[in-house]
Amino acid sequence: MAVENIQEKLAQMLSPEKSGWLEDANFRTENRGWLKRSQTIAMKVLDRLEELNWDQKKLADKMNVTAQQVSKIVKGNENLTLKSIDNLERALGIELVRLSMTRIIISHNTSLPKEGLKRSPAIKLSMKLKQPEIVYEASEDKEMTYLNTG
Amino acid sequence: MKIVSIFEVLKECLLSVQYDENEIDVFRYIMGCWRDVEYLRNFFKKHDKDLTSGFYGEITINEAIRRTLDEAEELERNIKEIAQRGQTDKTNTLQTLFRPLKKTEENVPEHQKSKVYGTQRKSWLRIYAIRIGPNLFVISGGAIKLTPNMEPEHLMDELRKLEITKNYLKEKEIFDEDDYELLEF
Repeated sequence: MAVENIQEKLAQMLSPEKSGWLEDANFRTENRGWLKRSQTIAMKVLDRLEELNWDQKKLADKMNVTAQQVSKIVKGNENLTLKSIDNLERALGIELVRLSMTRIIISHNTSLPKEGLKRSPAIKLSMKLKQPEIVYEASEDKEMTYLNTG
Repeated sequence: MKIVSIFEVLKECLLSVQYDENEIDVFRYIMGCWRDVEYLRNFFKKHDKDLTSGFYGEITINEAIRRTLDEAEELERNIKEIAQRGQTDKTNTLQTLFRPLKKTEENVPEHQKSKVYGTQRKSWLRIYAIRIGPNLFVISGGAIKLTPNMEPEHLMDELRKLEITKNYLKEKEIFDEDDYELLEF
């Protein structure tokens, strides 16, 4: 059977509809950033549901949303608003997202551990003050870190 | 199970079957599953023994999910790139992605059962397809392969789907085993 015949026969039997995969793939590429975050949140939510021995229906009830909305969240395919994240966190009783650049300036006289202290971009803020300061920084990935700006 | 239609995934080179129990073609379906955290978690829970057997080293379920999400992303990107390059560069085709299903076979017939690997080293993602002509593939399914063999039930299912697809193509006279040498052309 010649190659042309195969192409001809294929052309006759191919579905008139397109696969739809390319559109899906382009969507995933264009929205890569928030999709990754949504996937991480989905993993945390599923872990927590297992800990609590809850099903998705119970979470939907606690959040006062539909089961379909919870289903989208646990697939990691939902562009969550801050309001939805807050609702999720309250229902599950855990923190899902920790924002970076949260800084609390405290006195340099405070007895904080000095080992491992380092300079950070926060120095610009604290250098305006007369006394050396210790800046307390929370990041998305780490626990609270002490930063000495003196 | 029967095939209801064949979809063109990439123009004139990559096709996918759609089984009667699915609303979308199988390639689109598996690429969606590999980006679905809930699906992946259920899969790895079900195949926990294979996951922790040591073939892929020590790994938690969440690490396995993240790894799959990342591998699927890279695989998808490579297929898209080949689709774009293929329009101008005829040497970089899907043929470079697919490998023989049985590594011992040296003379690859036209309808060679093939699988495409995820691009990372020791990737566990597999797409199964039948090559029916030069750079012309029909995808029958895909799987996460956690074992060195095809013994787990979900992998046996993939072998069955390859056979079903092959028989369907024969029935539709898309390829003929007796004529396969001509297809080399």
